[in-house]
Amino acid sequence: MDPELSAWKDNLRGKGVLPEGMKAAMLAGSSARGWHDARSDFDVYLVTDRPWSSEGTRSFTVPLEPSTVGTESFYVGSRRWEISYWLDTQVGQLIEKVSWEAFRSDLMAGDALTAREETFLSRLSSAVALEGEDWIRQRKAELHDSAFRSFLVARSLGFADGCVEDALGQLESGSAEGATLAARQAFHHAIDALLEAKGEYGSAVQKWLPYRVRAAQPLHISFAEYWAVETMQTYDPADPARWINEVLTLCQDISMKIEV
Amino acid sequence: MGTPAPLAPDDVPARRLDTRIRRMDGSLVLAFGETVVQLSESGALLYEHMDGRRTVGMLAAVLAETYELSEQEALTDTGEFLGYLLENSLAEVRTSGP
Repeated sequence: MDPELSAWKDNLRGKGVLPEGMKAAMLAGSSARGWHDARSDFDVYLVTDRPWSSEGTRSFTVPLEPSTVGTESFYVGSRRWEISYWLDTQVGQLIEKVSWEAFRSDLMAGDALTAREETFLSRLSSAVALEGEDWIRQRKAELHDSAFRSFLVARSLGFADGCVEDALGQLESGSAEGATLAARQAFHHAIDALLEAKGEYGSAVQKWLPYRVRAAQPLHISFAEYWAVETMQTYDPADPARWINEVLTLCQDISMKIEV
Repeated sequence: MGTPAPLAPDDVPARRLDTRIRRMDGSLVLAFGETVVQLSESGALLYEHMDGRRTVGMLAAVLAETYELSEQEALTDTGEFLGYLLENSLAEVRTSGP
């Protein structure tokens, strides 16, 4: 094992938070991507057959059976570590929730999964194995074959459509400020859809958007083009409608390229 | 709804920005209000190139080059397609000025 990954595992073992017979342990979130900064939490998912419990265990609820996920947190130096204990059967249920059958029933992503469930699946796709590589590879493959990607793409495109309507409505009513903000939101949702179509998830946290664009390298917009819109480089306060219309047109261009 | 006037080669058609667009099973599907339209391959080609800058003539040239049509055939096909979009409020046109 990579010495750095081995050190991660040693830290977990030293804190006594690794269950016997766990199926998998994985780094998740920014640390798994190498995007973390000095203030980032380290997130670790552990997958077990039986619920984990210790003196320091807390939990959050999920609409699964059983309905709780245990968590532990601790500090190593100034760094906070957050450990979540998911059951193998819960992960199976999550993947079933985003089946193609569920997608074809017009269920919206926000209705199919809670935010925590979506975060878990999003992070699973890019998780780094500390233990249980076969389990992680198998679950990643199941996720890849599921409709998770299409759920998220459809949701982001729907959000983008809503923001486009808002922008046009604001422009028609003479509010360039409101239209500008709505156009920016539409653009973010369209970019999210483009990235999700490439399996690059994580739309919940805005600060990672440039990182995700760099990682996904979408064919239909370069990083420089994305960043020019993101930072409003051609926005003219004397003629905001021109920029707004260009951005909304770009949102349509993106929608045309993405297979839902 | 009245039938739109025929388009001139210098007119500039544009997609309506409030049209919802999806690509499903390789086809472009447009929706505006209760109108839902699935475009043919050639229709999708024209629609994708309707960026509010290209004229009808330029769009026809794209069609002619892709499908090896004569200029007149391409202009006729492009005009029919754009007329359909305009009738269904899926496009708007900027008439070229003098």
